[in-house]
Amino acid sequence: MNGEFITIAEASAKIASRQISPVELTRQCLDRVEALDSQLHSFIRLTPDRAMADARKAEAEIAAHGPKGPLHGIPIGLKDIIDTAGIPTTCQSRLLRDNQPAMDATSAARLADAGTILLGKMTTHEFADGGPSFDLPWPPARNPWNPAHFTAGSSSGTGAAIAAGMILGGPGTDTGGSIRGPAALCGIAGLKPTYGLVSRAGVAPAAYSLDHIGPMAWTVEDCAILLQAMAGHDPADPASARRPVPDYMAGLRGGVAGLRVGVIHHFHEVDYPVTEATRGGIDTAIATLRDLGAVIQETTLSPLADWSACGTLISITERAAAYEPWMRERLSEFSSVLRDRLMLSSMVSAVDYVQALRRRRELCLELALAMANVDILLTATQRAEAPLIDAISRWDNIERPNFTMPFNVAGVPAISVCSGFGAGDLPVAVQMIAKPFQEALLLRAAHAYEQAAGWRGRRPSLAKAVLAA
Amino acid sequence: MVTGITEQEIDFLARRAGFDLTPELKAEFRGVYASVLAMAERMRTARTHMAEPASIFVPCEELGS
Repeated sequence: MNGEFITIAEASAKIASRQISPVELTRQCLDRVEALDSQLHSFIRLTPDRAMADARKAEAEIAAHGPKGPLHGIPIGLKDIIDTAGIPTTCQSRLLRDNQPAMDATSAARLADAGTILLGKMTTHEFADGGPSFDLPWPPARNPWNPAHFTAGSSSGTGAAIAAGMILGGPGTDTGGSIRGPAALCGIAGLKPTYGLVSRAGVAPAAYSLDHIGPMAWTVEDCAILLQAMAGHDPADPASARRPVPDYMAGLRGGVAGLRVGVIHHFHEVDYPVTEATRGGIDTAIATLRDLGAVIQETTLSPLADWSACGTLISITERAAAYEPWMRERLSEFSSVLRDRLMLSSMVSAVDYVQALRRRRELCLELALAMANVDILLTATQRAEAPLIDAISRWDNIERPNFTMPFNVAGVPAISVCSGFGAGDLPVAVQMIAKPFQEALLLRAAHAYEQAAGWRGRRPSLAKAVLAA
Repeated sequence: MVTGITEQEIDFLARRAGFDLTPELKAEFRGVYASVLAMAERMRTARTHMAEPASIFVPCEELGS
């Protein structure tokens, strides 16, 4: 790995063929963290002793029995709203500064069982909302393509660390785009699965009915590998789906010939027009998919603002319900951004919330009808390249529509994939969406595009400079 | 249709929720409230009173039967 970046799939093959050991791989990742993270702040807590112990254990197991799967010996990070037994889980908040969970979250336990190496806990926005915040004891993560710029949130540290090659992957959480936003702005892949596919047990809630857990990695293939380990029914999560988990790798290279792709042009061209680079990336992705044999169609839905408002009202209200006791008793301990956003919930009535839930049913039915004749939908993930980190409005979530929220409202799987580079050499992305529990198809389409597009050879110059040193 | 909110109304809603807003935040919320109202208005469509919300209570699932 010295002098190069490596994906989970590549590292897995090298571990299996004894070209690299988990100890060596982990040490190299830790070296990169030491060299880079003072600028990027992607880790809130590094666990090097745990990492090296995990790596030595994996190395011994692999030497004795061979790898138990593609994640055996792979360094990852866990967003700091995901519980880890014996390791503080702060949710990037003063309120949980000393919180030490007794149990791993289900997703953390499943990744550990798969043989991953935990490098540490990743920076997030406080309680997965309200960032970036500059008045907390921990700084927000910075974009590895340019540290003056935002990563998006709230899986911000995970996105930054993957792009910079400090970890090979990790789970993010997504209530309105918190996997796909950082994936887009950091130039990686991020999949929000179907609601209920990956257990939320042991993960701090942001909004109960919109929260999803899913994989983030450099490539779509790596997301498939991570999802395989994380997906599946969990009785500890009341929303967990009772259905078998398919083999996400089996059809990954099946291509898109004959797939019907519905482009929601009005979302990114009319409802909330994107930048030239984002539009160019989307148009090129459409052309690429057409060249690969997909059938391109036009799909029309309700205005983006309707979807966005529905999700935002539900999110504001459910979040306030979750954190009401602390809002009443420990309000001053929140960051100013999250405090103000939480207090805004007092302006949303109970009737507004129920009307949003009624609108949600209409929108879900509308999407189901629209998808009856297509396999994949396509639109933007973010409007633009990463903005400057100090230029983010605290009311960003309500002042502007959001391209990712519609698919939290509907609970359907959606993935963000890098589609090029725009101003300042910052990445742009395209978002693809599938029907519920059609992750295998979604991964197949996204993988086909990613392979044809050829953007995976480009990494942040900051990280490349460290490798070259 | 309501298009704005007074400082007194903001105060009432905030106090009911248990908050004591600073004058600065009250002013800010008055500005932001238009966006909240606009979002809430988008949730009112020409549906009948029979239209159900997306989340419904399913006791059998909760009770495991």
